Amino acid sequence: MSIWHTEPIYATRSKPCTNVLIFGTSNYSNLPDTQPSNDPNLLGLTSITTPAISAYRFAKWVKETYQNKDAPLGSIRLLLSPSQKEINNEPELAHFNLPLPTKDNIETALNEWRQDCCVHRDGCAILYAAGHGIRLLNDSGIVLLEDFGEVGANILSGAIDIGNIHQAMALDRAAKNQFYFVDACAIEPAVFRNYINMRTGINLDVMRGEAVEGSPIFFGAAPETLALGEPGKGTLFIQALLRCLNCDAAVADDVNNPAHWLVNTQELFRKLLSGVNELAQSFGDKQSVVLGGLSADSLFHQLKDPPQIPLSVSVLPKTADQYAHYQLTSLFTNNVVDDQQPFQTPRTTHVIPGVYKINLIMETGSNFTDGVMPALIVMPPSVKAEVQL
Amino acid sequence: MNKKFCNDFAKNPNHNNSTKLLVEVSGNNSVDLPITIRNRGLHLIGHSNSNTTITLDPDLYVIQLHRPDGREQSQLVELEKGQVKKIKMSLSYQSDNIKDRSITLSTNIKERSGDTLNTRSGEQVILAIPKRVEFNLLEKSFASIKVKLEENVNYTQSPARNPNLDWVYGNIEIVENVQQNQQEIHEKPWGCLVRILQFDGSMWAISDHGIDKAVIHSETIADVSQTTLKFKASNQLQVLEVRKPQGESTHLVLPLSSNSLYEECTVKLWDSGNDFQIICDFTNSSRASLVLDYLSNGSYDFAANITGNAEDMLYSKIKNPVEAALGGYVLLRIGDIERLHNWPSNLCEWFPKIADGAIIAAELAARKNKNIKAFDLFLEASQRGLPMFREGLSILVARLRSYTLYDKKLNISSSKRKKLQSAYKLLAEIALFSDNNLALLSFKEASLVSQDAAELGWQFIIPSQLKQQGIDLSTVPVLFQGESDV
Repeated sequence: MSIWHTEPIYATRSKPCTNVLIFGTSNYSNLPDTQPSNDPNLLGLTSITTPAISAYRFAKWVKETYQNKDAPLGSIRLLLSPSQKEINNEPELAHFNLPLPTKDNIETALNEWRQDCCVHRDGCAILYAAGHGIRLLNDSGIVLLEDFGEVGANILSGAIDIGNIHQAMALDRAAKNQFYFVDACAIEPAVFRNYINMRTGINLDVMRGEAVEGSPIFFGAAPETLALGEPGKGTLFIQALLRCLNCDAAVADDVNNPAHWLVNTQELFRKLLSGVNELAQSFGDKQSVVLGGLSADSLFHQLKDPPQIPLSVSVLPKTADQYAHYQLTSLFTNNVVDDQQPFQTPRTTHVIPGVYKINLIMETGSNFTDGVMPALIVMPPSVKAEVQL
Repeated sequence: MNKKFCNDFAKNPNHNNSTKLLVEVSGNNSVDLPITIRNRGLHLIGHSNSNTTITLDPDLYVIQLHRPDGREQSQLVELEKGQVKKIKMSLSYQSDNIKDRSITLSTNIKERSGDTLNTRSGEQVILAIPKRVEFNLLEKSFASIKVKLEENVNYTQSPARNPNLDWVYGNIEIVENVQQNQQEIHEKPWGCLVRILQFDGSMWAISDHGIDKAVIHSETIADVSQTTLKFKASNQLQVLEVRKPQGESTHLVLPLSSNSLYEECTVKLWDSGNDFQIICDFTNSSRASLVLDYLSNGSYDFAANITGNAEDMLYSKIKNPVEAALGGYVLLRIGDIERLHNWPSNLCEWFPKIADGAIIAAELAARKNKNIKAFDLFLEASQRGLPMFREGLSILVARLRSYTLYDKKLNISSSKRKKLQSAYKLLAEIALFSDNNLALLSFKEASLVSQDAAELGWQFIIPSQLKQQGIDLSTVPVLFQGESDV
């Protein structure tokens, strides 16, 4: 199967690299578009409008931004089944001749990806799956594929269990760092209680082998809950994930290279947990990311530059802003990074992490005294400061 | 890339003139908390713990305290040459949101005339009514609510022995629905039923230990009834079962008593009317409490740091298998199996009533490719009732599932296969309904006792709202003639 994107390092096979498999299904060939069918095997589901665009955005981010000094990007396999709404929002989706995430296509892509991931032990494997989801056990994450619901087939014939893939990838020769993202609901349909045993259509053999060093599974939703999406913007999980990777989860924790800003498993999970929940709360809902698998603190991504943190400064009383000359100074470099007169509160500036000093010099005769915040620590994800005059 | 916590990480410390820093954390008595030291550019200098003296070069530093609630607290510290500096950071947190701090409870006076209830408050009415009564809104203004009480002809009295099951205690809130230009009645029933189940080594039964005096404190904050219950811990595995009179059960596995620890077990019950939450408080182990807090916000790295050396934990704190089991799960989760050494086997043997020890030993064996031993230990664990921790159930069910589905090379005997299948059936159901937000195992729906015992052994927890209202249950408002037998 053709690969969506490769880097030169992939072809040489001489050095470890990162191999990525991404698939997202919004349009299901056997599911109705709007009104759920009465067929119990279709689980009351319809086609949806955010997984494919979410998968595409993640693939685009990996292609353009992902950086891992130990295992640079090698390949991206991308399989998408977008809805018309997603194509309208992201016309690029219509121009790619991407394979659909059907059971057969995913099986082929998965086997090829697994072989690539077994070339170098020091490599990295990333799998992102989005679509309708089911969760039967804590570390299972069943994602329904494009041809789910074929008449006469086993109920989960068109489905893949990411928990099984995770287990099957624990091979002595496989990439020692693996990351799994399951951007899908985690519900158990009532009809499943009638089944004694169910197997997903794609099921890899699980071999006895040593565990890899780190293989976390980031589940987009806690068991028995839904993963939410925002039409046009993608799932809440992908929105928060990209924010985390670009800024919110960045830490300068490489003692050998202090200027490097990294995203590692633990910080990514902490910030993803709060980020997704905050987004859900803004819609009056709840969504909890769950961490499964082996969650050793592995490096996922290294930012090219320090993250840009939104720093919002406001003054109290608000009426004082028209008399204020605002200066934001880095205590690290002594450079003035923002200067505004008259000051308009609140003022949001994007700054690199560090310690800053805020000066508000008031106009003579304004009846306000100068305001100073001598040491403001600015760290991801964002900072709000209020200066009382 | 695991965090290495070290106590002294100065590159070139000048020992004659060394600069030292000690971080103390108020609000935390006994356990050292993880801190990170960064330079003024926020680049990592090193990791350490509170109450540990750190040697640093003179400079400006940012000290980051990783709080158990998931938040981070940072402080800028300037260290001068030769200075020995002590800084204090606090765990207390004051909410920015005034609503978080306000305590509200609407109180009102009710007047009854015939089948009409009239209140002098226009917002809500707090009362206790039989479930066979339904009410309809007659009038509502800022000053009063008038509700008509009628018999609910659709209600069938339950055969339950506990008369409380036939009553609803709660409040009725009248809400304006602006969009539909009408008023809606929101009912919030209060009160929960609790009972203790005990595992005797082969099956679950209702405990005959009374819980009559279990309630040690109750109060109402922001319309939520908060009740603290204290149970005498047992060396038998116990489960607290809680349910609303008209709702489904939630089960919470209580920590086992072992020697002098966990003689008592404190559980907090938050009853918000339509829903409730239960949380077990590890009052006897601040270390276990902290580890659970870190785990709940996803900080496995800090939890691992708090657990310290797991082997020491087992030998020096042998009275505390709960802490040891917790430490074992954390190390398994972050993949640091070297630190587990052989102690999981000891935990398994020395505490034969704890499933968690067998699960950790089994998982360790499985990861070392000792598959026959692993299978036997997992099967042993499944016969010990339930693990105390959700993590344990998750590992156990995943492995049992693998054995039932995939692994046919273990030559499992038919009697073991039978045990495996029946254990997997029960545990998988419990796992499916387990609460992912709690570290201690808690689950809904699945039942541990037979249907015959469904209504036995319950104790009603009187909602504190009624107490605060000064309502004695024996004189609860009688809204219908002949309904006084509460």
